[in-house]
Amino acid sequence: MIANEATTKRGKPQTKHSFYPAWCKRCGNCVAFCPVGILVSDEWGYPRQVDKERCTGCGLCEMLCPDFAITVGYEKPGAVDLAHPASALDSPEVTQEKSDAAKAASNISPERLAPVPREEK
Amino acid sequence: MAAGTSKPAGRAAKANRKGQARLLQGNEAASLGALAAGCNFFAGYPITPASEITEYMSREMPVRGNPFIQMEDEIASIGACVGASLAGRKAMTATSGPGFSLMQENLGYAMIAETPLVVVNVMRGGPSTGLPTNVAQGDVQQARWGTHGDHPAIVFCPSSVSECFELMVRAFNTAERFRTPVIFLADETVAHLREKVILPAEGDLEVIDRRRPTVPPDWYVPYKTDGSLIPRLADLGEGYRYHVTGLVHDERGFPTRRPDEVEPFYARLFGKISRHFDDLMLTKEYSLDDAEIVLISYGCTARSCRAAVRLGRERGIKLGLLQLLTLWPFPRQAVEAALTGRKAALVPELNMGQISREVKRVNDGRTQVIRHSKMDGTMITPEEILGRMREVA
Amino acid sequence: MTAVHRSVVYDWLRHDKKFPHVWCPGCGLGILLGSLVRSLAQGGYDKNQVVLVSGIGCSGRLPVYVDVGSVHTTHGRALTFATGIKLAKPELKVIVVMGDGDATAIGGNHLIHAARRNLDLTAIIVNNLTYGMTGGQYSPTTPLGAKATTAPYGHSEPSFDISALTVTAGASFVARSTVYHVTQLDQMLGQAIAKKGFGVVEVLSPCHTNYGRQNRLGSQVEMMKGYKKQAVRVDRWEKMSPADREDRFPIGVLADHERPTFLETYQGAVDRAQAIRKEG
Repeated sequence: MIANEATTKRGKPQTKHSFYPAWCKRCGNCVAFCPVGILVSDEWGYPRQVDKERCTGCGLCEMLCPDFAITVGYEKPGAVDLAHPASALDSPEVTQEKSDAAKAASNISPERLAPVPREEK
Repeated sequence: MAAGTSKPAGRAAKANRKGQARLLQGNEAASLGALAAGCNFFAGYPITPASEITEYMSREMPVRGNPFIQMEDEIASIGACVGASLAGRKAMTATSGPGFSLMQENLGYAMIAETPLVVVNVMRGGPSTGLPTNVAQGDVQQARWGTHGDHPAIVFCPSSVSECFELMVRAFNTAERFRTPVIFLADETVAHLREKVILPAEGDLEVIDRRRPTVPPDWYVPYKTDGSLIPRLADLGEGYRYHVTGLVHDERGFPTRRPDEVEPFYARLFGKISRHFDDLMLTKEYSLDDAEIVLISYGCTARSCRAAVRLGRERGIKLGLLQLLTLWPFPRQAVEAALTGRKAALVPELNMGQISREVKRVNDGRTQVIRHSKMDGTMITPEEILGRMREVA
Repeated sequence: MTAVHRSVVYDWLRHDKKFPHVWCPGCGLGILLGSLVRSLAQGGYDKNQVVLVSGIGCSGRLPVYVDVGSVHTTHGRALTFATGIKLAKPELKVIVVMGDGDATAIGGNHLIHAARRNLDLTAIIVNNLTYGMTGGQYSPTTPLGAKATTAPYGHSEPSFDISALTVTAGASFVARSTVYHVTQLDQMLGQAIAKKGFGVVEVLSPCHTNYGRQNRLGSQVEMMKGYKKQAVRVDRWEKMSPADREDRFPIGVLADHERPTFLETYQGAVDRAQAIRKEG
């Protein structure tokens, strides 16, 4: 364990999720398969972390994300919020364009994005 | 092939001697030509009448420490050749009609991915299994249009054993220079014929290698070209990590459907060949200067034509021959010149008029073009050609 | 071997290729892509010495995203191109990514002959039980009775077991995993790539867009939960009764043995040929 890392109450290193909405296709794998259930879908379908403390840092969400839109690292005290590594693959203009698109998508009313219940026949 | 396994060592050694006269079969001469041009990868599948090439290569490639592989079919054979070519080898495969039909899809791949490659098709009677051991010239238009989608094609056609050697060297050089597959379209008669050949010494041959990138990998744009329209080809595994695809691609090799990228792509694919038509058009003339009737022919049929010219002139008929060594791109200028000012032109061939159709197309009222087709699995004889003269003269 | 961090993936993705990639949301191919890249990085391979070859179909689009030499070939023929590349440059690591239709229908002949020849290649066969890119037609691995756009009344043919097929054909290494069992998938891929000889990894991957929708299997999440239920580790599988094996499949290493590779046996031919030629 590295001493200068932030730790949880139980003394484990505090993990840090980094989401990259520009690449996220909102498939829901991360939310469905998080072994401790600390990821939830927000009203637009993007993943959000609800209970940082319980994260075990297993990285399953990262490995099961087909779109490389999540990374799990460790939080360092006083560290600034670093950009997701995927942003290095997009040029600055593209990153801006994609995040604008993601923002625009998030302005669509949640009702329109809510999954339509499957009809049982 | 019956002979040949006993003393391959002596043969190869002799081949390197200057001006060595040798008695060779067409298929052997083609194989020797390939080796002389630097062929260092062969993948094939047995088929009459092209198997001798595959057998010859199976003897010679291991001696040189180069790969030879007999694949599970012709599709796999040409696939392996394209792969090997991308990895930097000079690759060849040899087949006949049925196998050539199977190769068409990957032949198109080699064209769109601009992979140098030589495909030998020794023509036999078709369609389907047809006449496996008989001669025919029925694949002339297939060699041009066999793979789907519009594309350029380069096809060479030998009529003698020494032309098998010379044209094979040229086929490799052309493939490497233009970064494109080249089809070597022989026929059963020429492939199985044995003739005296004077082989050039190794140093006397011009051997062309593909242009490889000279810039550092970071600067390499795989399909960006200079004025030649022929992009430089990096071998796989040399640090130039780029993408090769059968999809229409942009300069970086990535698939594109943008009309402003698709159109220039096709323009370049055609342009790199059409810009160099003059270098590609190979023809030979026999007694053409004062000829009243011109014969236009290729492959084994050109042999009968040569005899017919000689016999005809003995009988007072002023015959001349234009032999086409390049079938595609069609040597339009040479044919136009040969047709101008003649009484008539006769196009003998072992199909129902695949080249005479082209001759008629470029004739454009210059003279009377007569086709002479034969499809019975045998060659056209000089007497048959002279027999047609009565209709003309 | 030192463990590499998962984020090494970003070093191997192609910088000049646009992301997000082409596949449907939730498609297992993205998971496989990550897994493949991690296995390559974990194995310590040099990017310049790796060539990825693919055929046609959804899986055919995978190599373009990886910053290595990549060749996207014709439908079913990826193994033949890979054979040429490997023979031309034996020092390269040649990895072939194919779909089930690609590898076992149109390319079935090449698959069994590549396994028989035992050339040092790695074949990753992504099995989603259908032709995804063309709209969900039945493939050689579609189960009997399943629906497909060309089997609207249920499929009338039994299916291939890709792993059993390649084991029988002579592959040196055969493993099966699923995109749900992603940590195991990393290991299987790593072992197959490191293995001398023909290595096969059959990867079950959900096509919820076509196969799942037509067979009412729900989203990819439900389909991957299905893999969790159906997949049995091979050591447990061997102890199971035929009744228990119903509707389940084994995952893990199914075959791993040493056989001379084509390059080794061909070198023998080269040596003999050169010895004969020297004697004259």
